[in-house]
Amino acid sequence: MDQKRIDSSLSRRELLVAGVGWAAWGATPRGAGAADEPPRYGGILTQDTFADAPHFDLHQSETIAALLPLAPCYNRLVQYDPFDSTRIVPDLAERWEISQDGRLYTFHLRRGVKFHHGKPFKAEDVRASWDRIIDPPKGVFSVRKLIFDAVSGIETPDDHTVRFVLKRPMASLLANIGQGWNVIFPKDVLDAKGDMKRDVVGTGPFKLKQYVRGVSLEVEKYPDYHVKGRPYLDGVKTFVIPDLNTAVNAYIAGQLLLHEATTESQAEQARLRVGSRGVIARLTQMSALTMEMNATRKPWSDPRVRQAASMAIDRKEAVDVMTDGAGEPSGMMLSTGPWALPAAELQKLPGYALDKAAERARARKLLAEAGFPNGFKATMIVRRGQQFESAAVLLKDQLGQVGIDVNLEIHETAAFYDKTRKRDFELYGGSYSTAVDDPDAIFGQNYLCNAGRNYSAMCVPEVEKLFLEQSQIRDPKARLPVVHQLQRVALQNVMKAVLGFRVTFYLYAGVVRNYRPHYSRYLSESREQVWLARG
Amino acid sequence: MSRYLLRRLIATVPVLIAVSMIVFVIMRVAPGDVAQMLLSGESGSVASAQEVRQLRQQLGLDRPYHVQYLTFLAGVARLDPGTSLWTNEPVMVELGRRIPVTLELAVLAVVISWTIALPTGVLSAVFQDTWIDYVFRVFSVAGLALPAFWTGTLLVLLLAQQFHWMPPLGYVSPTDNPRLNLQQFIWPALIIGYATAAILSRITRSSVLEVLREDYVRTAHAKGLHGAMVVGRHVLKNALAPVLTLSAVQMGNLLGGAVISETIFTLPGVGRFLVDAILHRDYPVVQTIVILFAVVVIALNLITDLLYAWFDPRTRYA
Repeated sequence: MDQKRIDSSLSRRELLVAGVGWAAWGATPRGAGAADEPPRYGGILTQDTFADAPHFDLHQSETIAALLPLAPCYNRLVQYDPFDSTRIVPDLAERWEISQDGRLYTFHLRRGVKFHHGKPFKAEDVRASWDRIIDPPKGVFSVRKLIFDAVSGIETPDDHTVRFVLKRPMASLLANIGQGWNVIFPKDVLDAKGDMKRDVVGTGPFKLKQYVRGVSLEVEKYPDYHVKGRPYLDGVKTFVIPDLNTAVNAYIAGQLLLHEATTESQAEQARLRVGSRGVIARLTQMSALTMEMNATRKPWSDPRVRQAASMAIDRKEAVDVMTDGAGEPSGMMLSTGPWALPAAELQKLPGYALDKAAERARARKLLAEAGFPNGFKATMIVRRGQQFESAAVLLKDQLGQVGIDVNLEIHETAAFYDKTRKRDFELYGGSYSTAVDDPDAIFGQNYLCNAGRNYSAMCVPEVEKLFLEQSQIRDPKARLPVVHQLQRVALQNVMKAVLGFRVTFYLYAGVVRNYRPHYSRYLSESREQVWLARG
Repeated sequence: MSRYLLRRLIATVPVLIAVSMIVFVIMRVAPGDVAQMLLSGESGSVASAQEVRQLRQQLGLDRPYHVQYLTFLAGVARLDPGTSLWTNEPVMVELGRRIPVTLELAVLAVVISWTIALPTGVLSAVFQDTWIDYVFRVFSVAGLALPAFWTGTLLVLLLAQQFHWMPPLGYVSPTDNPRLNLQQFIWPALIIGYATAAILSRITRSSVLEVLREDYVRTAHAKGLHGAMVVGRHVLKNALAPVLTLSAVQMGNLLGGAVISETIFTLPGVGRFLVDAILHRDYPVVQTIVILFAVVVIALNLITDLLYAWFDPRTRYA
């Protein structure tokens, strides 16, 4: 993306944060408006999501369509600082201690907290919630339980203390507890109902006001919220708008004050129409674009073939096509985050060389060594959708340059998921998102032998070993070299051909204050600190 | 007449059973299932194969196909086709919320389409091969050529980007606030109504032209009746039968148009519900809506046939 072009076309009130990710957010202003402006109470924040949530049980959900409208109703034990996603700060736990051996986390809970149905919040609620995340009862599907594999149990010595007992140290425990999904439900409602699919009862700054299926979910200020003076807003209304164009137009027309995660062209359209009345934030997202190669099928089980395929791809070009020129080539970890391999290191690995012609010549040689001097034919399944289809066409072209003749098969989402789950594919161009930019989350969900999204069925013992090793090092400085080595091994084995991370654009009206988007939408959407200036 | 009606009603039963079987088979043949979708997020799922299996079992999708089909059919017969696999709500409750939305959209669209089609079609015929005819023909050809999703998107774009206005988000019932409700419905109804009017206008034109050449019309003119009176009293009534038939057939297209318009204009109607249900593989919902659409189309065709007698007294039902 031509950064200068965009920056030079901005007016003073239009804040366009360019190429800012994980570490740099702390240095950016807290939304639009003067820093010394006193917060104003009142107003309804309007935002949108692309679909209706199938149910309200966040422990069993994995879609932003559920998290975005419901997050304002809940608290977690710890949370990400709404202004700095590098920091974990208290939420329902006011403080915590970690034992010397890193196997015991003791959380001291806030007092005087009440659920929306009036019951006081106690340690038993934390235990009931976390028990179902870690070890869900029959009929409950905890989609993130594997992340907390290291936790052996939860103890509640008294009403205001909770202990997480671990089988082994887990450096990312707090970061993962802070994910937006891991909210605390009231034990009595869980006991009575078995799940929270139809109930919204939390301790959060807002409580459910009205839900009209397929239309909107509205929450209103919870007057007994335990943080004095919060929230500032009277409510948050989330509209269900399946069509992206309609959502952007609703933002332009002033019906939405906030529209998250849109494309560059849509953002540009909004900028032209809304001008100084709006703000655009550009953010590298925790969503990696990849090409998966099914290692259970020949010839993809041969590492030389996978390496050749990876070497055929010009990542800069691929990411430009996939993200309208807004993405950045990278390895496994978020390119703007603290765990990313430096560019100089990446360039030594298969697929990342700057001299693409020379690397493609080496790729053809590798294919010849693997028994394919004249290349071979392969089929790539593609998820229906402009972003996936254009990426697939590009990958087909690039693989063709080393002799891999790719036939594209387009499937709509349900059929595509079915094929990937059954590993009924040779190649596919896809993506994966994780809530947290932490090796435990990214490798634990995508690269380990038993990882849920290890669709390529790659199992590399050294990756397993390094994963466990880094996971137990609590000092980030000591952990970093092991994480780098973990990435090198995974990239050498081409477990997935990672192309880069998506960049998306957040649009919000100039009156929205104290709003800060993060590298992941699954971290903090509570809107507790957001307020609206006079329009 | 009543024997005819009874015979037609009996004939709908095998048609509806055939429709239900076809949609059941198509949905089962399509890869992917709701259990997988429920356990997936924006970029796939981390759920294990065992968890997907357990959820399938919980949802009753592991039962033999014939059991699933017969259970569904028995439910339809009791007007209780089961529970949505996606939302876990009774399908009839879900439909009950959405039918009024689509019905309102359909009625408005039909009113708009007839309001446009009849005058333009008749005027085109009466002033055949004059500039009036050419203008209305271009107008109707444009309506046929422009797909609803394109005109809908363009309209939203125009309203938002040029006038910084859009129909209000959400859904307001006509009983709560008729003005807001009209603001929400008039635009999608115009899009669908125009597309439907285009074909109706052409049929009206050719039908009126045909009747205008009839002897009794010539006689009416010879008797000194005013042109407008001839068209209004003698031509139009006899020319409307094919227009009416086509209107009933167009109902199917109108429901198809509703799918797109409801998505673009964020109306929570049956069309959008159907699209979501197909994408989620929500079998009971898809099966019920397809059967409902079939019932609507059959009923409209039956009503049209019955109305023939009113328009053309020569029509007899045996």
